[in-house]
Formats: sequence, structure tokens, C-alpha cells
Amino acid sequence: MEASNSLKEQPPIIEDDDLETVLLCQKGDVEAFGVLVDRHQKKMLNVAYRMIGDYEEACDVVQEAFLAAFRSVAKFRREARFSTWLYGIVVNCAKNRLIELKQRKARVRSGDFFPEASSGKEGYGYGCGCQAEPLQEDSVQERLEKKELEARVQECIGLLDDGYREILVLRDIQGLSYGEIADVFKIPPGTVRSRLFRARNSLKDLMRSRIGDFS
Amino acid sequence: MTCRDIEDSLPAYLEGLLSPEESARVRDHLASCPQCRKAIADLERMGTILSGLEEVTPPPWLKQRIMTRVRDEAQPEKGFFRRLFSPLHLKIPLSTAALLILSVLAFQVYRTQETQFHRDGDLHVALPKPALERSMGTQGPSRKDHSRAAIPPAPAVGPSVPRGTTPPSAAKSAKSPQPGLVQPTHQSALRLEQASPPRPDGEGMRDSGKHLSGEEDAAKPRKGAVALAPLPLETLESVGSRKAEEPPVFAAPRPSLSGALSPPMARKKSGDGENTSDSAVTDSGLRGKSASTAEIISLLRQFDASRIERRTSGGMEILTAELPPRQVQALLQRLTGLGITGRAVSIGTADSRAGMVPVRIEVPANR
Repeated sequence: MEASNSLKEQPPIIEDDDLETVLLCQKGDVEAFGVLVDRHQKKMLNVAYRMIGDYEEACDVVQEAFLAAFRSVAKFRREARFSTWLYGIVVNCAKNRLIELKQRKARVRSGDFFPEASSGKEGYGYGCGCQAEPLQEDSVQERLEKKELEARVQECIGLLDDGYREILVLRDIQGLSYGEIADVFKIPPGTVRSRLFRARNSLKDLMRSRIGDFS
Repeated sequence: MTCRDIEDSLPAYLEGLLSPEESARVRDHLASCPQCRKAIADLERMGTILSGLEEVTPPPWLKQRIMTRVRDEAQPEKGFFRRLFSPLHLKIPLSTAALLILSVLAFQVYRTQETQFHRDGDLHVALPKPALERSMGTQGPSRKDHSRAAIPPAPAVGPSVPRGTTPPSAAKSAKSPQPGLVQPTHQSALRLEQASPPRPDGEGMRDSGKHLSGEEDAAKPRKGAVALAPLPLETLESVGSRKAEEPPVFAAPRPSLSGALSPPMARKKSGDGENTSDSAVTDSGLRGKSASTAEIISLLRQFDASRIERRTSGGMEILTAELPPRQVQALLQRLTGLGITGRAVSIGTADSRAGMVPVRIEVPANR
């Protein structure tokens, strides 16, 4: 009876490549946290960047997110993968930053929605070309066209409603499974699906209206 | 089923999440509706675009900044204090902070010492007056007497005398010289004479010779030390400081050998690199290292030598004197008997006016 109780109390065993490093962090090994930063900073930065649309702000958000993760790593109970847990922190930090940015923009230009105020050029892909991975095979013209298309797509992503944007980013850009997204947002997988489908249809409509025929 | 319903279910249809019946219904509709076919084509293209979006790469400094902040966080006390005083947090350079702390500490130490001095009244009483001031105050109106009495005697047991002061025994000795004790007035007298301008008649030198020539002269006031220039404070200070470095001179009965020299008189002057002194010395200097020098001086006196001078240079004691010519040969014989021959003895030519022969004798200073 006691054995069954203890089994119930144990968290489910989840395959996680970060588990060993996380355990070191929980024992106070600060440098082990550097390994986790190395391993996840790029994915986290891309999530933040796709959600916010501004490279510098995204870097700032990632810093905050990792710092928050370090502060709370002792509370990480291994109920999900560390990366999933970290995604949740990054998404929350990005959402908070978006709210701040919107408020800031509203103070400057009353009534403007932040992504529109950026005109699609500041913080939506154009401002950070130096950081993008180069595509060697594309010609310069193709690269320019692709850049422009990506900037417009990013603009459309920014126009998605809160609750849709992050799910679409995590699923369609970062490739997380429904289960992982459900873990990140602590919502049922069915809710994830329905939100995702609505997000896709909304984005498709936005792209049609903003880009035209993109198919 | 309207196009709108079909469009809503297209994402699930593309993912294969619809039931077979719903999938069949969507498939039938797409076959007959170009608008919905365009919609599903857009969705598929959008998926391709999203999955092909270029990834951004983190800047090189991102991890560094994160880890810097993480390491700061890892120090709980520092983080706590920083948070506690974050509104008052001032970025003061470490060197400035250290300088401020040192200044405060130095001031505190100064205050403590000052308070202690003021509180301890005896300390003020015990503090010796400056040598010049005291000697001026205790000697009365006669500068002649002052010049002799102000000469600080050597302490009975060589205590360390602070610079700029004279030992307490100095004043006492000046007021009441004790018979039987060494009278080390010669050293300061020498200093005073050196500090005074040279007299054209050479009286001082002759006085020195006289002083050596008679044993009782050592206890008498010397005229040569009377007419002195104002006593420079530096001279007394230097005498005082040198006394601290000298080996103690103990009070002892005057040796039988007359005209003895005192050791402290022949000290280096800082500038010329050569010690000079006249022979106006007491016998205390003969004890110990300079017994042979004393014997030589005694010999010189026996042979009617005058203007006996003694100085130290390069580890050698140099004695110069003037002898009557008739005594030179006898002196040389006696010196040979003492083992002083060859280059150690130099005989000059007789002065045509006074008829005296200058003699120069060199002996090792440690003899």
C-alpha cells in the first residue's frame, strides 16, 4: 500500500536530455546552467522573436526568461521536459513584454496597435538581417523576395490574437507536439488543436489581405 | 454544409484529425468548390512558409550576459544587499572607496591620539623642551657660559634620545657637573666650534693644543669655545640623534693617561666624508679601541708637541702635530718601538717662522 502511494507521488518519468544538467543546477552548480543556456538559447530566442517581432526585445526577453528559470530551477519538478518548462517561461515573458510595448506605443501614438505601428519594417525581420542565417543557394533577388515575404508573414503573426499567436509559433514554427504545447500552457490537447486551427485560419486570412495571393 | 464550415475544418482535415465521414464530406465539397480549394492551397502554402522561416541566431554576448546575471543571482547575500540598497546603489570606483575608508580611519586614529595626549597631562610635562630653547633658558645671560653648559653630556647609559631633544640628564649635568664622571663637553664644543666662523688668528686651534697639553685643562672652561656663533638647532639635533646611535659611555674615573681622547668626538660629518676633530678631548676616548692612539698622543706631548690634531679618515686615525726639530728623531725612535714606522709616519719640513716640524701619524682606527 505504501509502495503504491510512493509510486503515485513520484512524477512521471519523462525522457529528457537535460535532466542530468538540471539536477546539477538544482544542486547549485551555476556553470551547469550555462550548458542549458547554450543548448536552448537559440530556440528560445526564435520563439521570443516570432512572438514580439523585434530582435533586440527578443534578446532581452530571453535574458529575463533564463534568469527567471534559474531562480525557479529548484522548483522544477520534472513533470515535463525542461525545454517545455522553459518554453512556458519564455512565452510568458514575451507576452508580458508585448503588453509593455503596447502600452508604451499607446502612450506615444494613442490608438495604434503595436505591430501596425512598426510598419512591418522595424522589428519584424528587416532590422536583424545580420543575425539571420544566410542562405547560400539563393540568389540575391530571391533572398530579397524571401525576406520581404517573411517580414510580411511576421507582421501577420503579430496581428494574431493573444492565445493564438504563441500556439501557432510553438506548433508551426518551432514544431512542438500538441502534448508539449498542452504542457506549456497547462491546457488540454483538444483546446490546443482548436486554438491552433483557428490561428491558422486567421493567419491565412491575414496573409491574404496583407500579402495577396501567396500560394 | 457551407464553405465557411468547410474552411474551419480544413486545418483538421489537413492533419487527418477528422472522422472518415467528415473527411469524405470535405473531400466532396473541395471537388466542387474552387474557393475552398484555394483556401486549402493557401493553408498548405502558409504551413510551408512558416516552417521555412529563417531562424535568428542569438548574439555572442547573450549567453555571457545571462550567465553574468545568473552568477550575481547565485550569490544570495550580495543579491540581497543589492536589492536592499538598490535605490541607493552608487557606482563608486573601488579605489575611491578605499581612499575614503583610509581617510576616515586615519582621522579616527589622529583623533584618538590627540585625545590621549590632551588627557595625559604628565606627558606634556615629561616632554623635553627643544634643546636650543632649554639651553637658552637655563644658562642665564652669559652666552659664554651657555656655550659650554649647553653642551649635552653623554648619557650615563646610552638611552635613545629623540631627535630634536636633549636627554634629561643633559640639563642636570650642565647645571652641576659631577666630579669623577666623564665630562663629554668636548663633543658639542667641537660642534659649536665647527659651526662658528673660523677665527683668523687660529686661536681655537691653539686652544685645543693647550687643552690637550695639560690634564687639568680638561676640566677648565675653554676660551676657544666661548665666542660662538648662534647655536644652530640642527647641530644640537644632530648631536642628540647621534648620541642615540653611539655605544653607551659609562661614567668612569679619569684614566691616568692625560690628554685622552673621547670616541664620540670623531664622527663623520655628512658632507665631507671625513671626520675631523681637534685634540681638546678628555681621556674617556682612550678606553677600548684607541689605546695606541692615546699612547701616541702621550708620546707627542712628551716630546713637546703642539697643535695636536686627530681625525679619522677611511678607517685610519690621523694624528697631526708640530714638534720642535730637536725632538723629531727621538719621537721616531719611540714610534718605531711601538711598531709605527714607514709610511705611517710622515715628517714635514720645519716652518721657517715658528721652527716647528709638522708630523703626521696614521694608525688604524681600530687599534
